Amino acid sequence: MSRLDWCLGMMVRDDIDVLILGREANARTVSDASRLWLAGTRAFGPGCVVVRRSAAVHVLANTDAVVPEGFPVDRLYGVTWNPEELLASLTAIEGVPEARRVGVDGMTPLAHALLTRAMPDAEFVDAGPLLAQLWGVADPEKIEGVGHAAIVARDGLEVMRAALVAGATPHELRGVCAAQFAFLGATTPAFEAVAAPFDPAASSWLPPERAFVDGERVTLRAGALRYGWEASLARTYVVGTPSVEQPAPGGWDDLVAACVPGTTAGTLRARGAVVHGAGRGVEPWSDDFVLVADLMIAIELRDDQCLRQDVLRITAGAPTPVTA
Amino acid sequence: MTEPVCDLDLARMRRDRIAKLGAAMEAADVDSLLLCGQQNVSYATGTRVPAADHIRASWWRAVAVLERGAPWPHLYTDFPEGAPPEWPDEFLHRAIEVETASGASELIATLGRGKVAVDDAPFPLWAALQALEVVDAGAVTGPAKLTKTPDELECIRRAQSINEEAMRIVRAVSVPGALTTELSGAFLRAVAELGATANTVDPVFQVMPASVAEGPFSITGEPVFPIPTGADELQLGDVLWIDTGINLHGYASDFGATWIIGCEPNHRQRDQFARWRTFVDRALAQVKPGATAADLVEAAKRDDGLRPWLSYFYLAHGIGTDSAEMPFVGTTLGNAFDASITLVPGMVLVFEPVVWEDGHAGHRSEEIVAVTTDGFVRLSEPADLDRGGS
Repeated sequence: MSRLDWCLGMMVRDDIDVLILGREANARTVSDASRLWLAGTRAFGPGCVVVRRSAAVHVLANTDAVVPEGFPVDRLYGVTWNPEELLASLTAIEGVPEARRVGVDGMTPLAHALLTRAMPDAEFVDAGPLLAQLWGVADPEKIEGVGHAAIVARDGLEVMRAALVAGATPHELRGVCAAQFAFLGATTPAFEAVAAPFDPAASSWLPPERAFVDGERVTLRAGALRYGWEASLARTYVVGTPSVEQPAPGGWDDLVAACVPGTTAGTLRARGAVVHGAGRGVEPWSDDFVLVADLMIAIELRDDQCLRQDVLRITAGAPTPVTA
Repeated sequence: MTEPVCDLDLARMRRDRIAKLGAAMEAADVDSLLLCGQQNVSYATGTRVPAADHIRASWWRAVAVLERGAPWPHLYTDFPEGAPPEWPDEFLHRAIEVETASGASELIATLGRGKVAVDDAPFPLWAALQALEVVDAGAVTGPAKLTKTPDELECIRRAQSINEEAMRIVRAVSVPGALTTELSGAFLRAVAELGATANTVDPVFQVMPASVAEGPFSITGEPVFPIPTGADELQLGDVLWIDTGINLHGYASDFGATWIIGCEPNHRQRDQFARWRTFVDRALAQVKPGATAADLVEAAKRDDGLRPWLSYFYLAHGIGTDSAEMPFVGTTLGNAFDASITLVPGMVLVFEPVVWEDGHAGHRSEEIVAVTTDGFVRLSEPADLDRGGS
């Protein structure tokens, strides 16, 4: 079954007629679209529409070059700055005008006004619970896709490590990582690579504008988005010639060992870990999200000496390292 | 090189923006401005967050709340080290998870009474807002962002200057046999080393087909642009359309150019650029306070009356903390919309017409200007055929 098939099944179960998705990762999940990557948030808009009755996914795009081969071109609707044209496109989609329950992954006052005109009888509901169910589906394509992204992310971290010497700057390390990603064919990141002084009290995501010095603890983070799948990792080093990777933080092995089917994300967070899924982007699991075999989990842990982050594949037994 | 607009003062810029938002709230009779879109939060507060993929950025989002008459917006963020140095402690808070119902309720409880303007809401926040009178934040951010202060213009100019410098580096490696993804890598490395705050868009290096029919399916029958960069090997004579953008201090750049790979542009390509130049120059001749967007559209039309730009985009767009923002010029919103936009000093225009000769590809470049009291000032280098070349 494809992810779209899973999605349609969940729409039946949750009594959702139409799903309207604005977030790119969600659109990627149901359509495999590979539209132009933009950093940061974007206001909600109807970028992708799934219709239960026709079992069809419709994508906002001017060309089929950004959807999988064989995608019907009559399920593309065009990019426009004119809301009236967008309204016309939406109402032309079979099953949209008469939709009663419509799942959305965000809303703005302007989008609400537009969608209410397109679907006068619609009640808008949160698509979040359905998307969370989709994240919980073990998916061979996800395993392969995150695996490819992990190769890129690991390579990016390795070139950063090699470039981490006294005098190097966070900007330079970000640059070498991006260049390595692109060399491997990935021109988009999960996040822009980070090289930041390790500080137990700070986020280690926004480095200062200065060069690193000998003996300093530095956390490197690399996250790749490859074919629309993401993987990331982080390690902490002491700057030297060469810079030396620090052992995993205390409790790491126990945390990894706890990543087994049946465990909840909340249980892992209680160990101090940052936990989310890795797939078409971050899968922000809620505390009661239950692990099952073949999911890809990102875990991060820190102590007062270092920080580490990895992606693991959940198996029936001990998890398999994906980025380690 | 473009000339500096002013001595950049980031703290002054942030103060001015808060004042503009406050004035726009008064004018729109808005009591609370609730901003969740990162470009708007950046505008209201100047705070930084890591550059990330859409859904990660959504989950990490910083949120800004400006109450009517308040001296500062409240800033809620997981990345307090990204907040400006002058930010008062009492207005800097830990992040609220507006992606969850509990977080949404927590945030709503902080709002004052009255009309709330919101830009974008995760669904749980949207649901929580339904108990209040809600309007679109564009009523506030639109007027505030429409014109830029000199500091804002200088940020855009500097962002563009970094972008242009990086493209000179990329142009040198854009030779037959190179992969377009290698160009992306060279660009991303260069902008990081040149001090960009972040990259904002997957760099576009698109080999254009000679005709629309030879290219990918096009929903409008026009050239398809932009398409994400794949690992295409450049060939002698390729026509490469480029579109890249970065962020500096929250402000976007926008670099568009057409390169001819491995050889000198031919007569036809020079002619295409000459026509592009003519269309932009005709429009630029109109750029001064009091002119309307419709005047620019009329001036830039071809002699046969057709519009030389992609119908799904525009002749020109504004730029600021968003890479494309008001004013939009020449969209399918129509003549009445264009006629309703009157140029005033501080507006920024990114011109991006397209000259397309089906069978012979075409030319697309971008040029950025800001409206002044008597005309315009350039925020980008003038476009050239093979811009960035030797």
